[in-house]
Amino acid sequence: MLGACQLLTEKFSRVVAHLMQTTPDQIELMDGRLRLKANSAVGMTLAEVAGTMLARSDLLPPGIDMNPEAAFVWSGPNRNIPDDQGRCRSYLTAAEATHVVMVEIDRETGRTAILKYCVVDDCGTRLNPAMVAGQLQGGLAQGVGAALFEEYRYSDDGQPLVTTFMDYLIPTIHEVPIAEKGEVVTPSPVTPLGAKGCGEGAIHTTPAVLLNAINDALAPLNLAIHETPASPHRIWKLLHARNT
Amino acid sequence: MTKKHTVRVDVNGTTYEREVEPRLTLADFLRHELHLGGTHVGCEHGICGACTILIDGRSARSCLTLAVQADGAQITTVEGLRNRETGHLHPIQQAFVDAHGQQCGFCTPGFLMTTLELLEHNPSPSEEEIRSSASKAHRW
Amino acid sequence: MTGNAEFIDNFALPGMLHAAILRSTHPHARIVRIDAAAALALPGVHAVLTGDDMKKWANPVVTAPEGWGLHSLAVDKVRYVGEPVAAVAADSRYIAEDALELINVEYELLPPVPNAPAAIAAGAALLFEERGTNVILQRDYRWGDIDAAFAQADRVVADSFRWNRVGANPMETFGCVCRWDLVDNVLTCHGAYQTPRFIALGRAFALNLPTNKVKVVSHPQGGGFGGKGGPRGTDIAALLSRKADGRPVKYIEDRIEYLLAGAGQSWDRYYEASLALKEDGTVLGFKVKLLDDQGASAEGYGTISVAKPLAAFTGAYRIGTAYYDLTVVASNRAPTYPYRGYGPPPHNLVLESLMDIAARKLNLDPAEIRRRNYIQPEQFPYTLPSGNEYDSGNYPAVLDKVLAMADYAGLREQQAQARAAGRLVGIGVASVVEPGVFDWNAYATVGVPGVGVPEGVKVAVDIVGNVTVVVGFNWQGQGQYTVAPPTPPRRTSARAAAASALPSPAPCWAPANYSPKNFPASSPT
Repeated sequence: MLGACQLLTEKFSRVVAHLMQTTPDQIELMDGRLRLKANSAVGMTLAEVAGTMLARSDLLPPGIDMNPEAAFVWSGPNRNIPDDQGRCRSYLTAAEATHVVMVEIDRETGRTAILKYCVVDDCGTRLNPAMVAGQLQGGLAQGVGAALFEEYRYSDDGQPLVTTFMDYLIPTIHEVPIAEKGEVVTPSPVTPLGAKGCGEGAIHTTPAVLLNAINDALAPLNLAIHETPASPHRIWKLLHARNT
Repeated sequence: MTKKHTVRVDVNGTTYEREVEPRLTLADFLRHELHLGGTHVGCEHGICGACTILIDGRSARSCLTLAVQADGAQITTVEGLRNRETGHLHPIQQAFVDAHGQQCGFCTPGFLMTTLELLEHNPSPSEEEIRSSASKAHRW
Repeated sequence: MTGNAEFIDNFALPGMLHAAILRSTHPHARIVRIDAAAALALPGVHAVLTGDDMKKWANPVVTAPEGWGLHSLAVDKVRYVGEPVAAVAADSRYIAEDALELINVEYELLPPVPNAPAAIAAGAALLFEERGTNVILQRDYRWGDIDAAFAQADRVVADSFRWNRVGANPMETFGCVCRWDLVDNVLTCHGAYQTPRFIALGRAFALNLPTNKVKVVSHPQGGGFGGKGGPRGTDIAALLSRKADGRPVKYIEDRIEYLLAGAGQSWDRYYEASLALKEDGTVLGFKVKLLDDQGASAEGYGTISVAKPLAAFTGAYRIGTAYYDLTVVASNRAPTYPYRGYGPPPHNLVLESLMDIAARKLNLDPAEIRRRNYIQPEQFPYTLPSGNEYDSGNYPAVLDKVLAMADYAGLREQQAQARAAGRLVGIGVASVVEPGVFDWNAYATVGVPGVGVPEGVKVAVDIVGNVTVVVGFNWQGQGQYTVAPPTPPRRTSARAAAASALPSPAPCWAPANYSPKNFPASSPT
């Protein structure tokens, strides 16, 4: 967006400079007007420039594209192609987070209750903090589902056993904690505003941290579960196979 | 050809009368017969809650209700929340907006209707009561 | 909030018909015969589509790697329960479903391949006979001297992991309204499309249309999360429209269809993995062997899901060497599609679990073993053994902050007391890197071509000074439009930068629907 705005500003500056018989470097965009740096009272609004471009082609600099719009495709620096081992600079930014949770497993039911959920994440410059928090909670919710409840199962002869929401269990408000959230900000040196992608973050982490907590709970019994979801049924079977 | 039945309902203060097949769901009736598209269908088997509306003041899954079952009832849908004269949002809608209470908005009408029911019967609910009322499928 | 968003099922065109799809009840079978005469004769039915129509009019979808795609409606053979076998366009969805019950399909059953281990077992039936195997892709990646690392290790921890299929399940399922203009031979598709440009190109190839004769209009979506692919439903609705004299045809996938065979199944994986460590907990090497089940076709670009972990293969840690052995197979399960994260979440579970297993073996606290292995702040930009470069970060600071916020020492005390009382209380720590802003080159080695970060935007000013921003994606509910704020500019660097570029009344955001002439280059997502 910044790139497109920059291109558009340059195009408008060329038009205004031509109309005022000066050069584009003498023009600046300020408060919605393109004006002479040397005399800020002299200038045109964006609307006036756009209107001139569309209605007065006789006044425009020769060879200019008359459309008051600009398109821009951003790409990162230092792009390369992968070598034979797939090595390349692929994703540009690296956001990071650490999650800490405490859980309790109910011996009778195998259900895992989440007693505490803390997240600190670093996704660079946070352009809209409310959005970041929303994305984090959403990813967390899907992570809880993947770790504890959601699964498509098939029979040994290829018949799907999960075809309704009575079988595919999406977590509700009762299963998903609102995490305590904190932040660290290390801006990205690569992106224009220092932001990093963060929309998928928690789902990358929540299943890992929940399984780690569950296995920490089971460790004194010398039991472990390395299958997702660590559903109540699977944990119950694990506990009761040992008669603990 | 199945015999059609007459259904007469009050929806958000307006009376409608239509001839419908007995198998037509209330959700489809509201959406496609009455063109009130704010009630959305997420699962069609009563679990996700997106289709929740109020029938005579009580919340119900419109996907599991047949239109013929609603004959004679007073129905409230999300379209009935906004003030018709002033265009202002209902306080519940405004509260959701202020608290960033929606993302894509597909299931929001269901949440709004159960909240309306909860607050009409229990103006000061506890956190536990709110959670019970809001127990629906949600992907965010 | 007021019920006025134009989700696709709230959209209608004059003369519109409604589609229903008959789906296979067998995981693997030849289609001997389809008798749809009674369905076509039912009052209110306007068209019936079967595999014979597909053979005449359509191609299998393009996949990466090539050659593992199917027609959107089964031709000659079914390969998963739920695969579309026939479709009907009628005056209402109710009548269309009545018509489905009148269609008779005769199958000759074939031995099923129910899961990934079965797909590679000797004597397994083949889903794609012409390919001679069920293995879509098999290769390994060797980064550094992994054998030396494991030979020199003081400890090796190894385990197996099973990640079962999960999937997006947005609250709104897929839907579309397709109209095939028989005069101009132009296809227009309205729908809940997450990737309009991608879908448009795919439809042109699948339905034998010039690419500038496919127009895709993307409607606000009730969530996407990757799992709302849409090619099959679109092709079916489009061809029904073609058969129904060009009348628009609406197809709304219901939830049972979505769960059975929609774009909602992902990440069906078997892992064996190991870490090589020194006695002090420093990790020297990380080995992963993955058997990944794509289901009955590679149409959902699941190969990208197994490649994306390369971008953060060794996570937040200074692990110097790694190895990745990859086998991707086809089975008689529903084809897998992308899901939020697009591949790393199961990989991260494997790495983070092994870190904890190692911590337990070495008698180290799980937070401490991570701290000892973190990439340090002064090491950025940091290049991983798998080749990607991390831009910046401060992992120790993040750990310190979250441990303090959680009162980690206090939690361990609570746990000790709970354990003394016989309760099963556990504490988990996990540190994960989320790669962002992708380059196409990330997927080259699994058959997807390209280099470059393709995010395009167009900004336009009109004669009254209003600004319109055209982007390549549509609303899913993540609030992207808030990144271009209205005046007055606020005093944060990000907003001031964007707002000072073109101060004006609040810019209007418009998703660029795919019309060949006005679409800015953009990534699929």
